[in-house]
Amino acid sequence: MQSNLVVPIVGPIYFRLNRLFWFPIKNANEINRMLFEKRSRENLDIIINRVTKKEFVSRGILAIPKAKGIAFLEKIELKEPYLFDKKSGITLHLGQLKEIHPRDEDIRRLINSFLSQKLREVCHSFSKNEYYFEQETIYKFKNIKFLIYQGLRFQTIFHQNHFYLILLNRYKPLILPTMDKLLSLPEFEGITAEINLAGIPLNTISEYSLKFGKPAFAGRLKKIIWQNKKEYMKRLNNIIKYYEKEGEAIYKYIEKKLLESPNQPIIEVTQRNYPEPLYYLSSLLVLTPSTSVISNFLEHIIGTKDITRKILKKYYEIVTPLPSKYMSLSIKWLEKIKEIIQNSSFLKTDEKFGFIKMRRDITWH
Amino acid sequence: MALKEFELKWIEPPTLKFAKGKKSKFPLEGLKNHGPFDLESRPFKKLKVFIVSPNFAKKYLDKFLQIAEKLADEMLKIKLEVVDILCLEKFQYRNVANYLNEVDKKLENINKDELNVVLQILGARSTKREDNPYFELRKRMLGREGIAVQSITVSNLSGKRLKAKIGNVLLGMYAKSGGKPWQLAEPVSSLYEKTIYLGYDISLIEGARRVGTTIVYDNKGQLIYSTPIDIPVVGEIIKSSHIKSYIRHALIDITKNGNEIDTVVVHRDGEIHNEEIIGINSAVKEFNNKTKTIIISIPKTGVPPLFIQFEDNKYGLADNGYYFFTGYKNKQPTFFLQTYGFEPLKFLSQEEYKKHSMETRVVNMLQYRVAKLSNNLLQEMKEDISSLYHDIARQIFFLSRLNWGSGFGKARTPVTIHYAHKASKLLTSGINPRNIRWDKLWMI
Repeated sequence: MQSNLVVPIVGPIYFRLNRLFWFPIKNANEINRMLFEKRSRENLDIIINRVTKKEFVSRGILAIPKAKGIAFLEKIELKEPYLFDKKSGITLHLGQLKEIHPRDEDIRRLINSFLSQKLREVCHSFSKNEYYFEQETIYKFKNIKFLIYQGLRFQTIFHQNHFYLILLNRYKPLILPTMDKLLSLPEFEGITAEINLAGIPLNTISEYSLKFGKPAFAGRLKKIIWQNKKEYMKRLNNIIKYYEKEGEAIYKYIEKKLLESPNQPIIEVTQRNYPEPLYYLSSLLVLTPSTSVISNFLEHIIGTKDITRKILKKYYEIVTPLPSKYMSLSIKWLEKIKEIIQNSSFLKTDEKFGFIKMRRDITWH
Repeated sequence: MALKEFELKWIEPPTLKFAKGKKSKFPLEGLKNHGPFDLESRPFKKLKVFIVSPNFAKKYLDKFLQIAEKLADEMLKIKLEVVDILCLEKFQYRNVANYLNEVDKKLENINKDELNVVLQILGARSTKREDNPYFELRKRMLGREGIAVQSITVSNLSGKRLKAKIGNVLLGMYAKSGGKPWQLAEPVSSLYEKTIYLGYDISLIEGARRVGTTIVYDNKGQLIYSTPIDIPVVGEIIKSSHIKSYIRHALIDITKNGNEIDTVVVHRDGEIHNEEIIGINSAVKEFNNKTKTIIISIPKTGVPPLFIQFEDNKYGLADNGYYFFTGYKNKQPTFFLQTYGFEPLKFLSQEEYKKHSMETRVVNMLQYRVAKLSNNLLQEMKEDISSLYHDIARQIFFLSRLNWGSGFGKARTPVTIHYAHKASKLLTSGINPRNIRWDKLWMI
């Protein structure tokens, strides 16, 4: 007897990308020399990458950094022949737009960038390359909600004129409300919060990360700076100064957040690759406890082991589902991807499109 | 012959070898029916254990030990002897210096040469690095006394599946004492008899990096070498000169112990950089120009599980041993292998198979890449390269069946990587297992 084996890999997806439009950076050598003389930690690639994301990708224009320049899927016209990078203060002078033949690596990057962009338009994002679409509340206590977001992460497998997407279901536990509201609850008053929440991962709210292209992962909680602390004003002023530089839209958003919650604590977080701590307004952050700290956290707010155990069981069942449940989620993601491809000008599918199915022989006893 | 994408192939799970060469497909069945592989040759007659426990866990200990003694006799055919029990109050656990002092005091009256393992019972699991009794007791026992530590939390001393949990603890303690519960009945590679499998991993210590323990198995599935090694690393990359000298030393040590080598298979936990490939290749070439090399990288990025689709559109988890080629990444052929899926314990009917596989929680497949095949190997296998890839899948699958820390005997990755990863994680907490014999799997 024969049976089907199925794996959540989607394909084949065909692409047609015979040409790209490329703006070279005229002053590339000059910038390189200047960065070398300044002994800057950054290089030209990092700057091009940042400008590409900020000026084009965040505005929905498909662009990738390519060989001391920026490449586009479609012909674009720029108002000015230069781009300014605020962080480094460097201006990139653009040369004449050229038509070029894309390499495999360019195609891979463009398709990845296109899919992430389209998925991001319809998802909640809590970490890099992860896209969350659905949520399940597994516990509610007073104003505190313990949710699990469900979504996907994808990898691509490239072939000459087609590719496959490996879909991997992802789960993100999340505690609501935002940190400013959470910390105002009696359970988290004063110093207790630092002891019990230290080291817990924090994410920025998806409204902030998606709208302004900011990082979804904030870092791990190190310290809570309450309004009555000496350093509070200094940190707050630095935060305001930072957003002033980042542009009008984000500054207005932050202003609104501060007015909504005027005395909100500031959170000091640490990240593995940053030697210096970072500071965030607590209204921008939510707790996203990892599996290893979730039981301690729940026990702290609930107080009884029995209820905690029941919640953990429910949590465990969601994050390690049975096969049919796993596949039902994967099928939903497949539909979203299908829609994105159907609305794209350079991707297409054929009748074989779907999950990869393989035949196997089985002898039942 | 070129590789065909998504062409499903299957490897039959290996048979395992127990006492007196008796065989079984399943570790627990084999142990119960025949006893451990080293029943007649093991260097210890009793499994002597010293227990450190919180006072409040005392009420569970009697029942735990009762079951453990029975299981030790049934599974490992050995007498479990509790040398002494040290019970401490909760506050003594919180002060690690005090905790270690109490352990030292108690150990003064114990003949440490005869002690096999320390069983540490913990109030709760904690991942913090500082002042954590889990890491601190290991630092002390492995660094000073050369004795391995097995830990279990109080919540695991009672409740559901107690026998299974105790079984796993016993297996862990047995392997940490230098025991060998089972071996493979068939060779790991069916193509090359004198193959060795070397796994290594890198872990981070506050900005600097080091390499964890190297674990080496032979083609019979026996651990033949293990050592913790520090290597300076720049970012994620190990310099080729450093990896070269370290691989050369390992190969020389292995041959000094009387092992012959015709093929070296290197398993790298995570992505492998070109610098490392160059270093490994030149170390093997310098060691012996005729030796063949296979370098496998096992990326950390997850891949989905493999399912079986039933006629009513329900899904179950496919059983172990299936693998397929998915394509190339960085010009390296990439494969997915179901190592840790559903395993039918007996021959099942279609209905039973469906029920069990649908009720099994999903486990992702293993992804691996063949990063490099040496020229001499390619030359030799050029007519039949798919047999070589099949043999590589078999090697990885078979080596994943030597996890002595679990009653099912399975790990998701080959044990070379599985143990190297565990060891390197422990090494980052400052543990230095300098006094323990290399064949005691202290990291399991």
